[in-house]
Amino acid sequence: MSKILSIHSFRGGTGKSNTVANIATLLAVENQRVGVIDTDILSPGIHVLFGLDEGEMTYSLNDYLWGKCDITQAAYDVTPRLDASIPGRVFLIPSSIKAGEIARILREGYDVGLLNDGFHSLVDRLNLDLLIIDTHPGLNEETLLSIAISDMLVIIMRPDSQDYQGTGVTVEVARKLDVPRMALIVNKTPEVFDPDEVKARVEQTYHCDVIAVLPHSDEMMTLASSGIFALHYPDHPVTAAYRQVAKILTG
Amino acid sequence: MDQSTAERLNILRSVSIFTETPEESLLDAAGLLKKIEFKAGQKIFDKGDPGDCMYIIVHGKVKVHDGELILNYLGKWDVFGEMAALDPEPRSATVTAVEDTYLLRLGQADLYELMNRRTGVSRRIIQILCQRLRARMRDMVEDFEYMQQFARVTAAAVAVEAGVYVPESLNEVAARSDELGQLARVFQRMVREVDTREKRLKQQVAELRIEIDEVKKTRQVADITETEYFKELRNKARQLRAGRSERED
Repeated sequence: MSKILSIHSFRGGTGKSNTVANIATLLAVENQRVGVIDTDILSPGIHVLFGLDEGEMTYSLNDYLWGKCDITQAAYDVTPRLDASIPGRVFLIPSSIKAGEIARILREGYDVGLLNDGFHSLVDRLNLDLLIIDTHPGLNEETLLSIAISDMLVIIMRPDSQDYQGTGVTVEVARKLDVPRMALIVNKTPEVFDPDEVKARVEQTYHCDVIAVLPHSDEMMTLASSGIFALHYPDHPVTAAYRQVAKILTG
Repeated sequence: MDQSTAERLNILRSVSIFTETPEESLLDAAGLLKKIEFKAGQKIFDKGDPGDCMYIIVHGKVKVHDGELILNYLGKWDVFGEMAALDPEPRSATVTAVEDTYLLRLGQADLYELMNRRTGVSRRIIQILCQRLRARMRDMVEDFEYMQQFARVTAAAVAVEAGVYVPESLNEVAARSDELGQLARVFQRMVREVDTREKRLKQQVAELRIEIDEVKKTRQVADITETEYFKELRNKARQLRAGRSERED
């Protein structure tokens, strides 16, 4: 099974952070221990979905990488905020929360070896079954780095002409980085499409497995960034699809 | 009290303006009533006739109509023309007996006289007029709301044509339980169906165009993978993977 998983999308607005949050939660429901690294530092963070306030996050992954704190200080157990009865664990590790540090990362970049060691020690120290990296859209150096040291890459795209080209570029670049496993999720699919046809067509286009074709959901839009969809709508078809993805990722 | 008076009292009690009138006042009123009979087909009064009395139907049946247009049928113990008895105005509709009909007539002068003697009757008449006025105002508010909501459906139709239709704009109208509500619901559904059909057609075209500009893609990939950073990253990633698999082995 993959230990380190990057979830990426070439453009913003694909529902990436929501997907990460839901899959992590469903895995914890199945008694798994999951870490989520939020590197999507420039947009509204995944921490909102987990009900974590920015003020509560004192340390970040960077502090750990730069030796300023212990990993347990940068990993926030958000499970009790989701549902006290969840048997597994979800740890959120913000990549950086301070404007100055974001600038330093953008200036100096991460060191690949350090980040790789950091990720693996995170997995070991927190005894994680899976570490999910919520990457920043586009293909900047930090994103390439995350992809390069991942065991698996999942690319999320919408059935939208603007996503096709960027997804093609991402798939090609990831192949050149020898990522061992790669899969696609088609998200926000309008009801008028036949999901099987979408899956077949996208797989044929990118020569890559499509592990889910998720419909556009009005309920999800309504819930927006105020919580975890899968917990609010456990019987919804979208939740069933997330569950399926979670199973594939840990299978 | 003879039988006819007893019957008249019973009838008067059922007439709204006399419902709370004490028995002795009713006896007064009963004495003022004039009995009139009409044969089936006979006109009681014509639209436009000066009106100065009210009628109570004892038995039979009449129709209230305006030429061919029938406005209402009235039967036993129904009252008509009571407004005219209070405030003489030309009759607003024609009334014709459809069966042999027996009516009691109360003239304006007699009614005024009764009101002079019995303040209870006056009070009751004022109450009834107030109730009718309130009901009419309620009707007007409802009519106004109805017209406003009807205008929303019309506006929605204009919006559909202009391509700026928002389905939620009809939610309030669609929540009505009457025919206007049904019209709004049918309208919403039809627009949705047409919209879905149009989108499906558009997206069938889009589906066929899941195409990628390969030349552009090759250039975009090269822009990333040809950099020193990328080459170095790839080599390091390979070393790290190899190192890890060795450790794991």
